[in-house]
Parts: sequence; C-alpha cells; structure tokens
Amino acid sequence: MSRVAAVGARLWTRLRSVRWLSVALFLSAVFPFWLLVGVMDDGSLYAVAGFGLLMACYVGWSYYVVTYRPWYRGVFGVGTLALVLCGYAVGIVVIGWVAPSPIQFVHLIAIALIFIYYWFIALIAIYHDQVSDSRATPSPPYPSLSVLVPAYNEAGYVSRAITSLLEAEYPTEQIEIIVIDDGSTDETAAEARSFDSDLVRVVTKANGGKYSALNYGLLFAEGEIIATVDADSIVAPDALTRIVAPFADDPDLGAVASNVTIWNRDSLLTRCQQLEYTIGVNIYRRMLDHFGIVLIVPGCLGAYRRDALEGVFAYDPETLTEDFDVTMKVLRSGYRVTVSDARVYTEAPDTWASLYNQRLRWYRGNYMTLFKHRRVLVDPSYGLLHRLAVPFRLVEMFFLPIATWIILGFIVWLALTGQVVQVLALFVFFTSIIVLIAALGILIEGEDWRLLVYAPLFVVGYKHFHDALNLKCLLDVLSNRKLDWTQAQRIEQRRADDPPPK
Amino acid sequence: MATHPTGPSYLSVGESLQYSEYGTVESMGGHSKGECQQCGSSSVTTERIVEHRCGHVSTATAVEDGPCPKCGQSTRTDTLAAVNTVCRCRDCGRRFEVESEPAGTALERREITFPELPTPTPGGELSWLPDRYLPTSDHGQRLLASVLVVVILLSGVAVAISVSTVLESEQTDAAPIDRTWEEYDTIVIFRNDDIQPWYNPEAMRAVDQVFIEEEVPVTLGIIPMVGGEQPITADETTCSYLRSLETEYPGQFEMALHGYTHEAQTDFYNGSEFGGMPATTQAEWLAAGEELMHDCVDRPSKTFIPPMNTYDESTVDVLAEAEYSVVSGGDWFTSMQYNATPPFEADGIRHVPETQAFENWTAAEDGTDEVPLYDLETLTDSFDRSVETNAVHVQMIHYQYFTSDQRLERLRSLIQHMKATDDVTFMTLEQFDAGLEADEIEETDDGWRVLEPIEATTANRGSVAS
Repeated sequence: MSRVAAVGARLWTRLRSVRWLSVALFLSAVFPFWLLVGVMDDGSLYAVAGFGLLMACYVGWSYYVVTYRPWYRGVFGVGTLALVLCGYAVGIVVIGWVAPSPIQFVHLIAIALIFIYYWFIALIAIYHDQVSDSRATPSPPYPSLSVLVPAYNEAGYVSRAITSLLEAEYPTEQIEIIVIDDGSTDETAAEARSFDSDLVRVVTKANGGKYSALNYGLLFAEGEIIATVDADSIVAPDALTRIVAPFADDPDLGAVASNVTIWNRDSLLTRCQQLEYTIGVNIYRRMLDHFGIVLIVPGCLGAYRRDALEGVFAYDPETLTEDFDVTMKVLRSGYRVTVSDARVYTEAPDTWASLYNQRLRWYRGNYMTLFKHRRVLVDPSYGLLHRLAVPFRLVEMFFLPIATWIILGFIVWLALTGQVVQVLALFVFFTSIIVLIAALGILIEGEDWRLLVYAPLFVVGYKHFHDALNLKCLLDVLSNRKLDWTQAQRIEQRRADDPPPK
Repeated sequence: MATHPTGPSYLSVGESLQYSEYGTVESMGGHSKGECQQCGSSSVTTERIVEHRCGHVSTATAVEDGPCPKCGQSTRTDTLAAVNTVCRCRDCGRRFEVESEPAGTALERREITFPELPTPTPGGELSWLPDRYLPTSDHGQRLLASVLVVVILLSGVAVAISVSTVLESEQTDAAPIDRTWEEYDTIVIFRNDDIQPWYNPEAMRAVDQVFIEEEVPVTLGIIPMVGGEQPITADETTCSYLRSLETEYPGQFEMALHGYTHEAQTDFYNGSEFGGMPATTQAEWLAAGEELMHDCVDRPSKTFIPPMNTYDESTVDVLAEAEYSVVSGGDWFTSMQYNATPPFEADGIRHVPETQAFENWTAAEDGTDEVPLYDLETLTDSFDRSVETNAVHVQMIHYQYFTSDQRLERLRSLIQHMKATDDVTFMTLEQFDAGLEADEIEETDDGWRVLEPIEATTANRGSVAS
C-alpha cells in the first residue's frame, strides 16, 4: 500500500511540475491544424501525411542510429532521404495526389513544413521546456574564466560592456576580462584603459578583423572557460555564472550559447526583431539544444571550453560570421553545444537601412559558413549535425526564401483574379498559427505579451524583407566576389554625431 | 562588435621578421616596469605574434620552423603577418603587452548609465498594464497571464474556425469557370436507389466504381432508417464512404433522400411508404430522415425519391413545405396521378420521374431475392426513344442487384452506348433542377440547351446555401 502511495505521490509531484499553461497553448494548435486538414483536398492531405510519415521515420531512425547504433549511421542518411523524397514527389504526381505544377508543389511543401515545424520542432521545444536539465543551476566552485571583448570603434559602448561584466556575479579571483582593441580609430582603447586593473586588461593590435582580434586575445587568456562578449552588449548580473554552469557536469560540452535580448524596444522594427529572437530562441533553438547541436553560439555572449576552442584553432577569416563558423568547428570536432539561460542585452538596429546592413553580413556569413562546412552534409560521422541540424538549416536558408516569394506571388495572383476573400482567409488562418507559436515562445521566455501584435508581420512583410535579403546574399556569395563587412549603425554614436537641436 | 575585416598585411618574400624571437624587455625598450604584471617576476621575455594567412595567430616560434599547425601549409615569411610583440613571464607564463605611448593613455573613467533593460518574468511580462489593473501578488499576476493565454487560445480557435468556414465555401466556387452553352437531344439522369448500410456493400461500391470510371454523374437514393430498425448513421463505414464520394468526386454523386424506412405502409397504388399516410406522419418521417442524412453525409440534396415510386398530394405539400425542389417517382405513377408529360412543375415542386428501370420486376420469381435485369437491347431502345423524342431519360437502377461482373458489364455497356450517342449529356436530378431554376438549362424545339459545365450551377447554389 505504501508503495502505491509512493508512486502516487511521485506522479502527483510530476504532474504538479508540468507547466500546463504552455502545454494547453501548444495543444490548442490542434484546432487550426484540424481545420486546415478539413479544407485540404484528399490528394494533398495524403501527400502531406505521407511526407510527414517519411520525415518521422527519418528523424526517429536518425535519433536511434546516432544514439544506439552508430555502426548503422550510413544507412538512410541525408542522401537517401533526398532520393526518397524525389521518388515520393514523382510518385504522388503519378498516382494523381498532386498536379505536376511547381506552384502546387511549393505550396504543398510549405504546408508540410508548417506541420513539421509545429509538430516536430515546437513539440520538442515544449518537451525540452518541461524537462530540460541542460540549463544547469549555477553553483560554486566556478571554473576560471577569461572574457574576451573584441572592440573596433566602440567608443561610448565599451565602457558599458566592461562595467556590466565587472558588476556580474563571479568570483574575482577566477575571472579576467581582456579587451582587444582591433585598431580603433576612436577613443575605444583609451576608454577601455580607464578600467585597467587586475581584472581588466586591454590589448591592442592593428585592425585585422574580429576573428583576428579574438585569436589574438586568446593568446592572453588563461581561463579554462573562454567567454566572448561583444563590446556593444550588456550582460545580465547572473549571466556569467549561468553560462559556465553547464560545463561542470558535461565533459563533452564544447560551447554554450546565451539568450540574446534586445533592450531598445521603442519601434516597430526593434520589436519585430525581439519577437524574431523570442520565436527563434525558444522554439527552433530549443529543439537543437535538446540534441546538443545548437548551431550558433552568438558573439554577443558565448562560452567555450578552452580545449574545444583551441582544438579547432579558434577563429577563421573565411566567413563574415565567425560565431557560426567556430560553433560548426566545435560541433564537427565532436563536442556538444547547448544553450544556457545567461541573458545578454544588445542594441537592435532601429532603421531599415541599419537592419539591412546588419543582416547583409549575417546572411552572407551564414551562406559562406554552410558552403565552408558542406562536408557535414555528406559525412554521416557527424551524427545529428549531419542528419538534422544542417539539413534543417539548408531548408531554412535555401528553400524557404524562394518558397516565400513564390507563395506571395501566387497569393497576389489569386487576389488579382478576384479571390480576395480566400486570400484574406488564408492570411488570417496562417496568422492564427503564427500567433500561437509566438505566444508559446513568449510564455516560455516570459517575454512581453504585446509582442504578439507583430506576429502577422511574420506571415507577410517582415518575413519577406528577410527572405529577399537572404536571396540577395545567396547570389552575392555564389558570385564569389569579395564581400565587405557591413554593420548596423550604432544608435548612440549616431546621436553623438548628430548636431544638437538649436 | 563593430569591426572591419581588413585582413593582415603579409610580409613580402625575403623580408625578414623584424624582431628576433626572444629578447629581454629591456632590449625592446618596451615594458616600463620590466616585470610581470601578475607575479612581479623580472624574468620576462618578449614574443613576436604573427598571423598565418589561414588566420592562425600564434607566436612566431610556433610556426616558423614548419608547416602551420592549423592548416598544414607552408609558413614562409610571405604567408605570415606580424601582429605585435608581447611580453611573457618566464615564471608564471602570463602574457602582457609591451606598453608604449600613446596607446597606453587612458581616459578618465566616465560615469556609466545603463538603459532600462527588459526583464522577462515567468508567465510573460505584464508591467505595461496600468498599475491599477496589475495584481500586486505573484499569484495574481500568474493568474492574469493565464487568463491572457486562454484568451489568445480561444481567439485563435475562433478565428481559425470562422476562417475555415469561409475557406470551405470558397473552395466550392474557387476559380471562375468559363461556361458555354451546348445543345443536346436528351439529358440522361441515373438514379441509383436503395443505398443502405449492411446490405451488399461490395455491390454498392462496384456500381459506384462504374460511374466513377465512366465519369457519369448519378443521384443516390439513400434510405435513412432502413427497415425502421437502425439509422444509417449507426454504420459509420457507409456514411464515411458516402462522404468520401462527395469529397473525392465533387458534383458527381448527389445524396438524395429515399423515403424513411423504405417499407410499404399503405396500399396506395399497390403499396407505398408515404402515399396514403397522414400529412403529419409524412412530415415527421421527412424531418427525421433529413436529420439523419445531415448526420451521415456532408451535403444532402433537396431531392426526394419516394420508395415504390409512389407519393400523394400530402407528400408533395410536405416536400414543398420543407423546401424540397425535386420529387422523382415512377413514370407510370406520375402519368396516372398528374396526367402531364414529365418533367413538369406542380404544387410547388418539380416532378422528374424515372423513365426506365434496369430491373425487370415482373419477371422476378416469388420467394427469391434475385431480380432479373432487362437485356441491353431493351435498355438501349428505351434510351434511343428518349433521344428521338428529346425526353429527359431517367434511368433507375438498384445497386444491390449488380452482384456479378456480367451485370456490372451490362450497366457499363448501357452507359457507353449512351456516351457514344451524339448530343447527349449526363447530370444528377439536383443539377437538372438547379439548371432549370437558374435558366441555365432550357428546353428547345430540338431538345435542350445547357450552360456547361452544369456542375457549376449546383456548386454556386451550394455555396450560397451554406
């Protein structure tokens, strides 16, 4: 009897620990999806269901084979999946489920991806949120930590970054802060030197790029954990303890990412960016975190096991996104990469031109990095990085930007041919799903509920800006021309440059 | 970080590195104190830091003797760029820069003010609410966040439901269709009676398959409460099968009500379910049957097929009251009862009786379920007469008797004969009525004019109704 009571008590404790609100919110998407199924014709439905089944088999097999049977890792890999999907595409046309029309196919794949995004990626994210143990609670003893702060022309910002680091909770005997002035032409170095102390060192070099600055700074670092912090970022008081905590019990952990939060949410554009971060971090990245294959440790704040970083010879010059590149290298060397609750605040571009410049570098760098690490796609020894993370990233970067515009063109054509009501209905329908996904992200993160207002722009508008930019960046990279570093304009520096009002 | 990847300047071939690898601080004239910043040791050396063109940054000694440890390529001087010279304590190993002017000058540390930083809170940030609405306790705030989630959830569901309704109706009349007037000698309507659960389902599907393969529309007469024992909805298999016909072959299968129990209740014209019954009873049966039809299929039509092909004036009144638009009885009965050439409108409803039965009832032997079929010649002759007289040809069949390939083949042969005849079109009873109502079917001296495709007429009517 007492055993039954113990089991009951355990069950009760487990049930009480469930975050029912997020579960309810997640499951509520059953309704829109069920209704979407209701309005699909049978052929499309069978085609999407078959696609989902194939993907479920692939993901299930991938997890099984990587976790339990690595000697079968070459069986039913990415190449086979691509072949099977091509055969499947031909098959569904032959048996008449889908008309042999490119638009029909793109439309169908987009619907299938929405299903997969929600019922695979978001499902794992919500599961991860419920049971996550990767976000270790910080507790002493803390490892020795070297914080690298690369800076180029960051006057007005670098002091703030250093101050936030000095105010962060971490034993002073275990931390060193190394500011690397990369040949700034303003007062960055002098501003940083005002903090010179036992804790803060400033080193300088001729301008050579962020990768070079970080590599140079690494020569001075003595900690067993290396953290990198952008000079325009502000770390939260508990950020450093939180970002090193996961390393304690996991020798296979190579790097830990932070949670980037935008502090200047005073315009539509910056709020859209925050919602983008909230969805990306709490849904997509959680899924990757669950498998230990987070693809990007952001430059704003990230931490690396020193052995892992030095083992891959740190940063390379070939790409414009050194953070994505080095994370891929750490992953390829066999380490796991996860996420922590360490929060870092950053300033988001507040004008479209500024955002354009920032993303130009990001997206170009992303394509460069993927091309650089293309071997991952054909080498099954990279496990889930090969089977899940990179293929998903490829779909996100190569298929979605094109599909988005094709579908928009199709919708415009529908509208021009008088089917306005249908277009509006589709828009509202998909918006309701995006709102649910956004609400899930906001709930998990504890973010501002008002951000939900901007969710429709992730169906039309904001999303298309990014997808068009992605396509441009893809063409830029394919054209093989030299691509310059482009950056968002600093708001504080712009204000300082502007003449005061008369 | 704002940084420009200008890249390092590599040394030209033959140019030597400017400094020797090792030297004392004093010889560099660099570090002002000449001692380690960390341990105070005066045993300090200098190191030249170089960058290989692969991006590897290290001391010169680590790369100058061999291939680059990072990329394995040559480390000739033209592949190395001097980065800096730094000091290293021989005792504790700490590296630090050689201090020099003016890089070493520091500004006075200025007062730092942080911007207001958003702090996420469990359950979602609500501080934007006016204070008077914001609960003071954590419990209260979580409750408020929960309410917010529920509101989002319900509004999402409500929006999705309302939109799906619009989408469904939009789907039916989605794209504008080019329609053209066509002229025909006759219109053929197939009426497949006695659709019911648990009885020869294989034959039902086989007959439907013939119509599907021949792409000929058909009106299905469905018995909602067969034998008065169990409703058709008790057999989900049959209902889901009928719904699948509706969705997979839109416009091809009409779902019409075929009486209620299909049992002879009176002696009206030698047997009738509805004819001769009190009007109230007929109305009740009709309403009950219609309700079951709505539960079973997605889109029941407003066509009534009375069992035994017989009905009386009360039936017509009840049907008109319930807004039925077509009644399809027997040719012999309708002629006797109304003395008019079908199809015709009388008492607020269109009468479109059967022209020819497929089964030869008079040749059926007593005590057996087997009913012989008319031979193909009889059937084609009947059809040919309709063509000659430009009459609407309603071909009645009962699926349950098509139990062999031979019988199915006869049905197929009749259809193919009809299709091989010039100027013949096929439609359901509902489409025929809707076409006449919308003036998209017109009777002419030489036959019929139809605005094709006629399915579009019922599709439009359906969407308006929904």
